[in-house]
Amino acid sequence: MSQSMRSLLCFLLLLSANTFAAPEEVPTSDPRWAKAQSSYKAGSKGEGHRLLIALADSHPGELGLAVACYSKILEVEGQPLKSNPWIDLAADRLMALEQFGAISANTKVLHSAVSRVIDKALLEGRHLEARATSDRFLGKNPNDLYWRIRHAYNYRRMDLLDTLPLYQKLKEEYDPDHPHPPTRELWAWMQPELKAIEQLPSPIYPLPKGTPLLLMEPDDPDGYWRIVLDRSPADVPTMVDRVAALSATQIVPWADQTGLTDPLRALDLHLQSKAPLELRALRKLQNDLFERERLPTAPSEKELLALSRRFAWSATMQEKLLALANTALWTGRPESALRSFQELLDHTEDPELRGSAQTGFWTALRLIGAVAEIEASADVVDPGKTYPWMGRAAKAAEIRGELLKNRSAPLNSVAPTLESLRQHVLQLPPVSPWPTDTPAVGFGIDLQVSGGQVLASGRNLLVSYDAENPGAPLWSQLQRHPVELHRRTGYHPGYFRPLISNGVIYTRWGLHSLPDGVAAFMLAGGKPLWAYAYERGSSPFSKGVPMGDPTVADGSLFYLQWHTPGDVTDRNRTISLINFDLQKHQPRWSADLASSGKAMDTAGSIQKSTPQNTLYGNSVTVHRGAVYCNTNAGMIIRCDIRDGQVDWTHNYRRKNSSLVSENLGTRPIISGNNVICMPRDDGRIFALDQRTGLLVWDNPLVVGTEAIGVCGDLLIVRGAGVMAGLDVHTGKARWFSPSPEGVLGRALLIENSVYVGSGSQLIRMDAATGKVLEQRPWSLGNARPLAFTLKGNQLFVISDSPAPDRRHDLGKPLARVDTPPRALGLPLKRTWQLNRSNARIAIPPASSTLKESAYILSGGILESIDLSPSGSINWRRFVDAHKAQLSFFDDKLLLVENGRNRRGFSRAVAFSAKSGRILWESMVPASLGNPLFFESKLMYHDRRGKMVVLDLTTGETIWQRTLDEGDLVDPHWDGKQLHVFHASSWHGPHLLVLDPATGNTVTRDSVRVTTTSAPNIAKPVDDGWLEVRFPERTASWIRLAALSEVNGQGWASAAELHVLDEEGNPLPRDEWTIEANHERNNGLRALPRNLIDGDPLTWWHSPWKDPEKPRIGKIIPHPHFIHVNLGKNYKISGFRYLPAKINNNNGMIRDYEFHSRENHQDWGTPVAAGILVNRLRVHRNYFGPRAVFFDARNYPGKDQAVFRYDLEKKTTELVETQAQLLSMHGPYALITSQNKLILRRSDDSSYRFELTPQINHGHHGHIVIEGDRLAMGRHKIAIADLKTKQFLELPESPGSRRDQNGIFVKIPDGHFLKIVHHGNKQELSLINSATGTITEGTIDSQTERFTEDRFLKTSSQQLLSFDRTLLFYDNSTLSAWVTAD
Amino acid sequence: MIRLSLSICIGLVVQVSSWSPAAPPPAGAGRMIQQLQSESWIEQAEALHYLGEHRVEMAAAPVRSLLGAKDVHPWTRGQALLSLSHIEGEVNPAEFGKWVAHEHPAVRSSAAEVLESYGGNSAVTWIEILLKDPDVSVQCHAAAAHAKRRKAAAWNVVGPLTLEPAASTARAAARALAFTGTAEAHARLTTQISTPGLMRESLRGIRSIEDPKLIPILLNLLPNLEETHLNYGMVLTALQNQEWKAVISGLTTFIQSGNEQKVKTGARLITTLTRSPELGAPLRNALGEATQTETIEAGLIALGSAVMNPDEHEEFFRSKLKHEEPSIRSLSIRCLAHCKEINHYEVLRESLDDEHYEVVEAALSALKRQPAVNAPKGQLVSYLETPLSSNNESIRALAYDVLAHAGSEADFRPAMAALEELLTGTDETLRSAAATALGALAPEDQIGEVVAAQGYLAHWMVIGTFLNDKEHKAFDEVHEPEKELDFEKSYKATYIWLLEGRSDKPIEREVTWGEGIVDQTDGKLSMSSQLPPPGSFAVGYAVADIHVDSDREVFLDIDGDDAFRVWLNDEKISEKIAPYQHRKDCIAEDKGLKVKLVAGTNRFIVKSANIDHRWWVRLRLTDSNGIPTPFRKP
Repeated sequence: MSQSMRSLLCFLLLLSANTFAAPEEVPTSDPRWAKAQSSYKAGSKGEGHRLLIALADSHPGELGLAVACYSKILEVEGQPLKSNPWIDLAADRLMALEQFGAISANTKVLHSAVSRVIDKALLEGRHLEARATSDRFLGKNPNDLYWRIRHAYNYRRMDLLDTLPLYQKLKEEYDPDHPHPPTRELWAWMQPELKAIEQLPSPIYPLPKGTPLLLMEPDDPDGYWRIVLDRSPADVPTMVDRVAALSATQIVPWADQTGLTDPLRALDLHLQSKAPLELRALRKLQNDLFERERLPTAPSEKELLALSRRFAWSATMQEKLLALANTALWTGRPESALRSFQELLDHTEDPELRGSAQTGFWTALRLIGAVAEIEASADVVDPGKTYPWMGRAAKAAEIRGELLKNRSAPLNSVAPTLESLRQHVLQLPPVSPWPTDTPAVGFGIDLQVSGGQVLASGRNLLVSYDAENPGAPLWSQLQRHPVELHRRTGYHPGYFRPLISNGVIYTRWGLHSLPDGVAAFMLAGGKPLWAYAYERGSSPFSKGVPMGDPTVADGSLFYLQWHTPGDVTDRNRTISLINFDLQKHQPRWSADLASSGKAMDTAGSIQKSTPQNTLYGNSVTVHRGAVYCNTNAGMIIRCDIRDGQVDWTHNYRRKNSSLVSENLGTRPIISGNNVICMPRDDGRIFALDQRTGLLVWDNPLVVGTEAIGVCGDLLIVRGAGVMAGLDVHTGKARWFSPSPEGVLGRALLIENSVYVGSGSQLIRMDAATGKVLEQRPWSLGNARPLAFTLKGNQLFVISDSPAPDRRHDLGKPLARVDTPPRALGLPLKRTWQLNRSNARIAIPPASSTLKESAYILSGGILESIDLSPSGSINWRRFVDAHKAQLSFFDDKLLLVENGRNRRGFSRAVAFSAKSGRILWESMVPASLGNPLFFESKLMYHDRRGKMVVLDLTTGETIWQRTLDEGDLVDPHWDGKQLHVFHASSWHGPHLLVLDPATGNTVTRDSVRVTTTSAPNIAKPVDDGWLEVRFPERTASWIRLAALSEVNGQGWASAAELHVLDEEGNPLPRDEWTIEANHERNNGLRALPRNLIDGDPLTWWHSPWKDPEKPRIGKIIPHPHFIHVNLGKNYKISGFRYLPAKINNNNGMIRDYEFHSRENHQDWGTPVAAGILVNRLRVHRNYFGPRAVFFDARNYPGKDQAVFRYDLEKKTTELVETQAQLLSMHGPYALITSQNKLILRRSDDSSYRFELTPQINHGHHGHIVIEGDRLAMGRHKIAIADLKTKQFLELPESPGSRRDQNGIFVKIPDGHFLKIVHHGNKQELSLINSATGTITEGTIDSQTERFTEDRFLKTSSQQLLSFDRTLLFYDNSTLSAWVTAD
Repeated sequence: MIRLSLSICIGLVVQVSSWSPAAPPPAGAGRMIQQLQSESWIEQAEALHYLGEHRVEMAAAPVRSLLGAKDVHPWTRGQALLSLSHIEGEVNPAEFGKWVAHEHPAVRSSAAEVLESYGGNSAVTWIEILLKDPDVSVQCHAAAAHAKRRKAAAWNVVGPLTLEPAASTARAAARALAFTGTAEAHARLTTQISTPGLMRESLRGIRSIEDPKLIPILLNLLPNLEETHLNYGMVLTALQNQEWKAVISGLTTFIQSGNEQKVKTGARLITTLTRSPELGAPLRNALGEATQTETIEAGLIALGSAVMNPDEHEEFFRSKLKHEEPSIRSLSIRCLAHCKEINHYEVLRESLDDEHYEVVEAALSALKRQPAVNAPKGQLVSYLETPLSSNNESIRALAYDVLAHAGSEADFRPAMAALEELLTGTDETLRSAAATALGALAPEDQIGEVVAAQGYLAHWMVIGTFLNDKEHKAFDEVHEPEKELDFEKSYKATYIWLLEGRSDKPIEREVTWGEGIVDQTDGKLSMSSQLPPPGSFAVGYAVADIHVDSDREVFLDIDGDDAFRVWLNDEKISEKIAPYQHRKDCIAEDKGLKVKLVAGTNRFIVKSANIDHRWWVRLRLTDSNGIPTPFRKP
């Protein structure tokens, strides 16, 4: 949890004393209200909440009742550090009720509700909503300090640039000594926040109108820059020229540290802001100097460009630049030419040069296609003015007319209605589109329509279809390269969208998991034209990885490349811009834009960047002689298209967010004078000034995923769960609305319509308002869409059903076998094999009706294989998951993604195992890993008490609940009842029985362990209080000494303390003064006075760290003392202690001493001593028939023992001392105690069988028990009959390898098969578990190892079990073996 | 007929809408349109309210469809009718009759509510119809619409209807009474709104009606409500919807009513809501008569905050410095702390001797925040004598803070005399606090005294830096100063500048011995500030000579960042290397080392090594009880 979140929650706890005034009267006569109160009293919070929600829901319009119900839910849930669904719902509803006046914003319950709602919105990336909410409450309560502070705090968390002024205003008013205690507490909470003011982003500076130097910080030890800035260039031409000469070795940062700019360019912009007269001396000086410059005999273009920057004001140099520009124009590089002509227009005062430059400029614009700009120049250039044109002088109007001739009319595209669309379904070849990992968003397949073809592209494939009649592909280019193991995971690819230009496809390509070059294919026919793997010759960076799809301009490809000396994760990295010559099929030049550790990466952005965000990034944008590069590594860079010289670098703010991994990013978008950026390594969207790279606007609220396009003055974006239209001039959202569930890859913008695909339908939205205009379900039958695109009225959809594989047709035998299937036995023969890389294989349990099948997930393709000797593939479909857990129930196959977090959720998909049809799809909390199947339900749970139960027939959540204070929560279904073993160090162990239909508690029994011999344990009284009584005595002072802590840590804490009078009633505490050392770095939270404030939620805590050595972090050890001056003499007879509820029972006092004294006496001997909190700490547990075994200890680090809790008798017995529970196998619990391995039975408390020494203690993990048979074979083979407690005598065979490490699998008829890999063969031993007979054999033709971890086993399954077909898998080949004739 | 015509005339001049004119829809409108499809009536109602409030035109169709949906609860449909009227800014005469005649009272009630703002001339007719509705709630809503048009003239309709309000009619009845606006109507509203079961709904009814005459009614509710009560918040919201000047004026009258309960409530409102300096004088005057502690507390709190110009009330605060209640005394000090024009050291002198620690704590906290210039120079220790000798740890700590904050060099000697005992004591917390305070006062050349008093070695000779690396390899090399100790000699040493993450070649230079001074009261000899840069990848030596009169066994505590090796009289006694952590403190410790000092001069040689970040070393000598061992410079 972040520090800020923690401090917020601390704050909420602080405010929570008497936070929620209970409703003043019973708000309704509806019996559900009373029932809910009874449920709360009985400890069934969930039941109470459900009743109240139903009550409020069934009385529309009864606002008071609704407020009472939801306030009650918040009151009952209290202020836990974590949120939960009840709090979320109640907070949401209360905030809605406030909207129409049912409750006031001036109540603490609403304060709490709003902060919860905003926290949740921020966590889920719904920042636009969070901001709207924050703005609304401040707008209605502008004078309320609470809402002002919250508003500023919310803005900081959203990283808004408007935060700083809010904090500055609050800092001015900061009053930590305010006489009003709640106000003081507000300020105390705000104090650390105000300290963060230095780190807040600066507001956006206005763009420099004249010279940009005022906003720059050049390195200026000799004051040259200062002189240039302060003086006219007419007065100091030499100095100006000196600065130009020195600039080559400098970089110039902006004063606000947001970026760098080329110093020569900065100087140039400065000089351009001056009047022409002021530059005359400089022109002359530079011309003289240039004349004297010793030039190379045949200067290269790069050298000339360098000179043109250095001597920009020299007329001679300008002539050379004109020649360079004309050459670029006539050699098909209009962008380069345009840039040179523009520079000439900016610098030259020679009328002839100006005229040539202007004509060249217009011509270049025409070649680029920027006719609108030629038209617009009519407003600024006198149409009657003459310019050189085709060897003569022509008027501007004539030249423009010539250039505008034959221009093509803009295409009138129309946004089609969904109804008018004709759908075509495309099937991809059965090749993994992404071999390395699942793409972060969607399936990573892109579609584009060009030249009558639909081109599907992914990392691993290019497939073309006829756009008019898309049946089988026209052609495909598929890569089936091996997956390098070290790159199997960790990358979150974006899209591969090749460039199609003049009938040629240009794309990143390469035969490794990361593309290491570029290649070209003919669009017609798919024929490869050329491929280039980029090597950098003598460069220290041996190879590069293209970071984005190529862009074409000036007859070249432009793309960014990532260079590292070693692996892509190497920290020594450089990002370069490549200009790739399309004539020569090799790079023309490469320009390093930023290198980690070098001066240009001042902010260390490249060093800190992550390859998974940077690689598979976006293409560059070429615009008017500049290349705009989004590095996705903290920088946006603009370069000169002519040689890659960096014009400026902008370092954007990066705020880590778990949502960023979904970001597809976008190439820089040109909008007027701005360039809009949405890098993949941050969710923010911002606009930069094209000229300077300075920030124009910044929107961190959308947490952008995809920029869909620009419509009018709106940028349409998709963010974390949101679609939005942003004003391109301000970046502000003009509309936003929730995005559909499960958006498919890319959305489309056509005219004023946005087309968004979801798993179930295609949606058309109005781009101007975000209004949903139409919806149309996909009609794909059993299949699901993977991606879509539109062209006119044609809708192309990629189906998740792959095209037939010509080598392995569905349903056709994989091998020809004539003999009937037999049970497995030696010898074996291979019958068929399949190449599947990096697969996960699930075999249904023997009891299943599916047992003759296997299910393979490999490279995003899920297949069902018939395991008969002849074998066949039953069905196959693409699945958007590479790593997943597969399990079975009835005739269904359940797939749950692993390791892929979709905003806190993972996807669970149920398939018909027989047909592969998707039955349902559901989201399950990603944090919950453990599945439990019961009835037709599936429970996901964690060890801390969170449970979510899905209906396996529909995928819907039936119920969810979170048990309080769980350290260990283990649910178990015994066929009739849902038991939960629940242990916490707060409450000790309990056994719950839950109603499987609702999750409500049916019974709750304490698991009491009575063996502890600890003395003087304090007596638990109501609500967690502990009481100690002692013989009556007189005292005016008392002292409680904490001698140890329940977790064995060095500190102590307490929520409340009472001293009891002779009657056992608490003494009044008004006169008390209390002293105790306390943690000082915790604000008001840990003060001694919290012990007597009557609030169980506040507490005292001993010093966490030695204040002398806070950095060492040394904890001040026990004892910790609380001294209380009672004010006068009282008769006392005991005390009560309420432990503080802090995470992990922090500071809960275990051993204590209690002293009392009258004034001026010594403390003497303690009046009471013993244990205050005696918690049994349960380590683990296992359910078996009739009983639960668990191991536990009641003192940290000491004396763990194993206990057996009888589920019927509800009694606990000590089973083994000094022991630990290892595993459970049906009724057998495997226990280790003092290097012995012991089996005990859950249904027979007298059963005890020692396995050592026959089984080595260290090999307990290999023990498998099925029924009453123990078998162990991963190493030395051992078999035992547990009923008779006897090991089978297995024949010794000194030369055999069967006792070496190998794989042990179960086959029919009570046999086990041991497979030992030796050399290039497999040595097999077939063991009869009834008789101990062993048969041995060898397979010479299987050279690869069996890879057990590629087979998925269910949690209850100990051994892999094969029936008639044995499967070998070695990470690339699956082979099937049957009994030989 | 005459009545109808009159109504029509009045209808013509009634303001059509109090809602804002249509503007571009807010960005969140799309979300709210989607929310209309929610299954929860609360969420639907939230969306309807939002869309109506912001007059989102594109929501008209979905709202209309909700209004027409027969399976939707009538209350929600009523809300849809209200929302639609706001969105469209009018009602459609052709279809509105349908809602007026709707079978369900909830829809008819909403129709009546719509007519408060819309309906033009036809409204009067519809109101007439609804006033005869069989449902009382509908009648009351119609009465409110009627009263909004007819004001006082509506009493003959409103009066009978509001005689016995129920919870279900309270909101509409309250609106009707508020719109009627006569004294009689307000008196009835006062009675209704004060009735516990009707208060919430009545407040909902009038919360958006802006009328200064409602302010006293609202204010009079507060003395009987707990601040945590939901209705208290509702009253605050309703007050905030009134014109602010009128609220201030109403509050002034309220405070001056002579009722102490009202004074207390008014003071609390000033603190939490208005924060208006112009209310200061009336409140102060009213407080003159107050007798209850709670009222005086509330008054002090209100007047003492910075925004209330507390200097104007200084006399009042001072008058409470000797109040019998310690809470009032400490509160008055907190208030005085906000006054800028007094000498707090004079005003609060007696409070430091107060028997209640919270009073002393408040006084010390106040002094800590005042300009040091007012503190009694050279006399501060005696000024703070009582708190400095308090048996309450936090009081003492605060007193040290004040001493450090306001003390001057002139206070150093008296402070040293008063606190020396602590410096040589065994309570580390107190020792550190006292040393910090003394460190703030001590002239630069006398800090060593504070250091030495605590048993730390304060005077050193140092030399460095020699080149080290990330593995502390140089720590095991024997450098020249280690071979022979001659403070006059100089040696060749290398160092490396680390720039831009690249390691450059070692550069050679000459290093000499220099005096090393411990200038922090925590006894740390900062190697990096005593030796030539860089302090990273460095090794240095420090030598200290001390004189003791007789042979003795003492305990030595050594710590340092990152590594040290220590010799005493040429015998190696300790060596520790802390594990390296990038840019973090890496502190090695060797505590409680028993060593023998010989009579005469004893020499400690310390070799200290550093990779990066901080670089220091510290030695402390104590006896077996932890009391600093006395020694002197040879």
